[in-house]
Amino acid sequence: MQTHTSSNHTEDAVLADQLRELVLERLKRLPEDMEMSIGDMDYSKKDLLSHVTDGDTVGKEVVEMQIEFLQDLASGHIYADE
Amino acid sequence: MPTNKHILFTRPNHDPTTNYLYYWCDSIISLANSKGFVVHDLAKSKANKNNFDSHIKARTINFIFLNGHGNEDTMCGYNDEPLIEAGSDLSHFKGLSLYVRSCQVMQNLGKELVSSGVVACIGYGRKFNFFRSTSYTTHPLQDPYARIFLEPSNLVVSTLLKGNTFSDAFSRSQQAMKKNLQHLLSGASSPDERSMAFALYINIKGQVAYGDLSARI
Repeated sequence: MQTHTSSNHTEDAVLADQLRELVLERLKRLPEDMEMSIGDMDYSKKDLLSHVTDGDTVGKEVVEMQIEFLQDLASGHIYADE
Repeated sequence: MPTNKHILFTRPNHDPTTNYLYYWCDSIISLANSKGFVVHDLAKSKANKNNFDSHIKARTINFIFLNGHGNEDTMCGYNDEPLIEAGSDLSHFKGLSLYVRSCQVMQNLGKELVSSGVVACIGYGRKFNFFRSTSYTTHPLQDPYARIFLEPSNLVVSTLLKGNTFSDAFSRSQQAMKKNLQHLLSGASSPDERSMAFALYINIKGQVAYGDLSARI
């Protein structure tokens, strides 16, 4: 049986911070003149960086997309069916 | 060569995202005309519920290419007016086929359409993403960032218009997205381009096809 302790929560928070930092570094490489359409909303590079920094709903969504991509890239799953 | 097949386009243009999709339909409409299809173009504010319903209820349409915003249960037109909603009477769509270039519609609405008698439906079960360059706002068709995302998505319809099956259309679009992804991940791409790869990857995973995929328009 898994037990969640305050130590687990601290580790989770640290990991979340590290992932957010990783995504921020990747987003900083986006071209300055870009806008991104995610669903029905449009975001500039500055918007994306701000949402991820704030950790709001949009920011979490962008982090999740980036992490999914990086995990599949690392596992080789991204090259499946090619 | 003329055909008796009718194609309905919805392409609102009320915000930057829909405006890009609006322009990226131009080449598909030209192709449909050149192949002899009868094109019904609900462009800009014409992409409203009244116009859409009257075309569907006339029962002449064979294929619908929907562009715009949406969610799991709703596909929208101009100013995000709902055109098709899950849970409503979808019987008028029986026998039609569709490509829905919108977010998440395939999660619920797409499945419901197929279970209501739609022959085949391709679309996205997740958010549809693309990048644009602010330098090309007035020339969307020349936008090199948008091309990476929208050219493969157009391939669904161009493949169908050339007489191929829904299975072919889906797989060619997937292959084109994967080819672009490979380019983005390769040394041949710029750091700018590489940073967009994640969004294209989500589109690849989000694109789905339901129904009889051996069907053609």
